[in-house]
Amino acid sequence: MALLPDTLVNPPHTAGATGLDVLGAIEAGGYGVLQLPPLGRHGRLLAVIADQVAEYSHHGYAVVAIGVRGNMGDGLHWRL
Amino acid sequence: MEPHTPRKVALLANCLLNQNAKVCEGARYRGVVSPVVEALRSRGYQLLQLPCPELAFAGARRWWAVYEQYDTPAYRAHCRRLAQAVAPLIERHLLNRDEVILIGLDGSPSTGVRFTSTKPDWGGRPNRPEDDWEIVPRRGVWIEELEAELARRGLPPVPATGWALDMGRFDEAGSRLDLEQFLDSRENAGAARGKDSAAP
Repeated sequence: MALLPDTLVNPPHTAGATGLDVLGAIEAGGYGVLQLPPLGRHGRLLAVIADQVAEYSHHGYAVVAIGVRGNMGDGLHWRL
Repeated sequence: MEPHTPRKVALLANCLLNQNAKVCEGARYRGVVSPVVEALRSRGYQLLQLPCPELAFAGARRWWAVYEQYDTPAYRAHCRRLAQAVAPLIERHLLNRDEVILIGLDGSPSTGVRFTSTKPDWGGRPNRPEDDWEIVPRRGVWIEELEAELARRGLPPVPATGWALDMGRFDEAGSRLDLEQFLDSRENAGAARGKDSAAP
């Protein structure tokens, strides 16, 4: 299970030919995808997604999260 | 400020990007349903994954079920909450005049678009593979509630079809052709709208 930000599911056109097709790589690796919503106030939807991640984790699925370094709007941000 | 260029947006049943959401023995792909994603991306659609109401309600180890088993007040209330959570995203696209389509999962009790599964007397202990169900032309419970929420917001119906994964005997080539025809029809409709708006 891979948690992906919207920008990696729907890369901007400016990513061009040199951009890595993350969704394609995830697909080739046999992972399922949980897509995070784009930038905005989506607290209720994020809560639903968090519940799903918790359910998969609870049952021993391998869960990975992929972020975008340095991209404040589109990545995952770890709060330590 | 630059004018908004209309986008093409496909609302996807959760399991089309995530086969882990399927009930036990229901997955046909390892993770992503590649033919659907390829068809949509090659035509320039952005993907917007919908939540999986069954997983969020009954968990990853739920039994398989038919429409009647999920047609309960509690499950419908759950679906309405999910619909209210995702509807603002869909609404924004529709208000921006983006071309929005919905790809569900035909045969599913929740996410069926053209067809759902039915067996009014199902209940109690499952008995696979002897259990048998029927397919009827009807929306699944989740799609009914999602469309109702969009209608409550005064939004137009979203053109929709289903990937026929839960129809009993899965025919990938037939499903692919079916999806391509649906997408062709949307492109033709879009081209017709473009001509109308360009007319003097």
